[in-house]
Amino acid sequence: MNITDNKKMTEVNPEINNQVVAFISAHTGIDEIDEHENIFESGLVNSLFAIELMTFIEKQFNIKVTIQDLSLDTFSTISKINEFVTAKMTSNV
Amino acid sequence: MISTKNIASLNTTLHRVFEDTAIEFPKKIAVSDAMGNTMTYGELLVRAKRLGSALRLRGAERNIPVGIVMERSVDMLVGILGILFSGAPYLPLDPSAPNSRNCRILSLAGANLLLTNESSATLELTEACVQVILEEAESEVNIGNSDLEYISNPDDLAYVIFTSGSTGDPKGVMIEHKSAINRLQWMKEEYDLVPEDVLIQKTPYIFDVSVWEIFLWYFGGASLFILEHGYEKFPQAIVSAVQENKVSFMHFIPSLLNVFLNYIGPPELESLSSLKYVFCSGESLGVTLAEKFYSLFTYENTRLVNFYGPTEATVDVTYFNVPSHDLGQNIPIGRSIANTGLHIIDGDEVLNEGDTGEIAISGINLAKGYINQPALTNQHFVYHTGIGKRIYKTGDLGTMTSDGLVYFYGRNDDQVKVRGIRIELGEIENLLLRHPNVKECAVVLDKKSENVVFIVAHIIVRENADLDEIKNYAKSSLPAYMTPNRYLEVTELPRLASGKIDRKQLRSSALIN
Repeated sequence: MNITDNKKMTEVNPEINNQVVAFISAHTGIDEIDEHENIFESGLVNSLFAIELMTFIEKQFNIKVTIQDLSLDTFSTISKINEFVTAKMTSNV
Repeated sequence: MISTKNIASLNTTLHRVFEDTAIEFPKKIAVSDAMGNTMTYGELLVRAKRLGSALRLRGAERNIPVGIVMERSVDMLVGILGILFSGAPYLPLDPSAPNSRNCRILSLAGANLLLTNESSATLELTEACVQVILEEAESEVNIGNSDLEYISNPDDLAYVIFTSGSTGDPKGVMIEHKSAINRLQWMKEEYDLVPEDVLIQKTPYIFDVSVWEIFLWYFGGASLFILEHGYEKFPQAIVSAVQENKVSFMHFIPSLLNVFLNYIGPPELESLSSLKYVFCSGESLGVTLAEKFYSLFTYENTRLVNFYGPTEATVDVTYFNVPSHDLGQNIPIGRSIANTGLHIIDGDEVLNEGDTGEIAISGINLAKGYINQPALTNQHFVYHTGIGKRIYKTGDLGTMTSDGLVYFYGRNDDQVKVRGIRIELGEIENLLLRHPNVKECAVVLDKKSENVVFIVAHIIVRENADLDEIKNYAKSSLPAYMTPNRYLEVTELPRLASGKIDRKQLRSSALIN
């Protein structure tokens, strides 16, 4: 991990984490989710729930995910989703 | 009720139809992907026949499956067509499944070759099966393709697809070329497939819905867009793929369609305007979903179709073109497709219109059986004296109206569907029971919400057993979609008076936990 990544990590908004975790918990019944857990690989987010999660992220944070933004890695953990949403919200301002 | 047409045109094979079309449209774009790879019909034909020659030199032959392990890609399509040109049926394997499961499937199927490419993981194969790497096979300069003789007949196998089996091992369904041709010819005619059409391939090729996604396009001289591996998780990627490639035919399982429709707003709807048909199968299609569909799409522009069929009868055997109005209480699975019969039976008896019974299927779409499992084949594919034909007993319950419309009412056993994927809970249970530290177990589904379903394993372990070790064993033996999400160590399993495990009680206790 390089310095820029570290800097990004410190800027993430805990409120975004809470909202994403709350959404996933409400749909899966699982309360404790490690923010670095790969939510696709752990089976927490299947392809169907992934579509719901993407819909939630766009609506909740009022952002538009473009085709250029898409990669499995970008949305693979709560922490990475947070980084992405934070960056996207900042660039929208 | 059997509709018969075009028996004569069924006298061909999947690869022969492709070659005939490629000769007619050699310069037309056949296939493309998101990485910008495109291939014309002519180019694809050359690659597929070259690969076919290389595979035949290595021992590919009629009716002996050749396995394939590749991510969804243009290479995958070359691989599948190449296997068919070699004369063998293809046997698709999940690249993300554990090595042990894929090897088990290859051995159950008696495959002698396994096709991979440089980006696939290497499998630890037994001596009976030899690995062939696509790039190496294609680079052999000494193979001609013009003289590749057709060796397979319409009665030979086109593919073998494995589905969950209750005994602890999956079972391989053997489909002949003539069955696949019938299913595809019928669909081409019913939905007027034309050269301007574009299909999208997004279903994993280990499930048989992929069969029409992979082959139908060339029956009408149309083209195919292959969605990159993993991108089916992103609604944005699906919308963009449709828009960029003017996709006109697309498939969804109903629960996926539902969440996809929740995503799309007016701009996305505009991007989806090239869609002519959205085909659903794999689960019941509800009236609410159909209403939601037509609140967004107009019937004149984009239509919704409901398909039904088990892997054992070549993808789909009934169809219902869903109207935009007067949907009634339930959406039927519809009427039988060409050269196929649907019957409602109760054992040896054929039931009357309106009675509920087991759905049985007859006709050309029926599989040859389960590979290397004659006893299991004879159990499910039987000659029914009342009908006077060989039938496949689906285990699905349904009823037929006087005008031949069939309604589906669920299962008569422990088979479940998780996101359209058919799973025998018994397969998971029997696999767990093979572990020396599992004394007893019962696996149930825990439906957290309409879209989130967990597989929960209740296990009675032997003394000093390590549950983590059992979890790792399951993970290394089962594909992800069948691996239990949760394990509960219990001291006893609730039983009904009959001695059978009380699954209902287990499901409710799973909810509490």
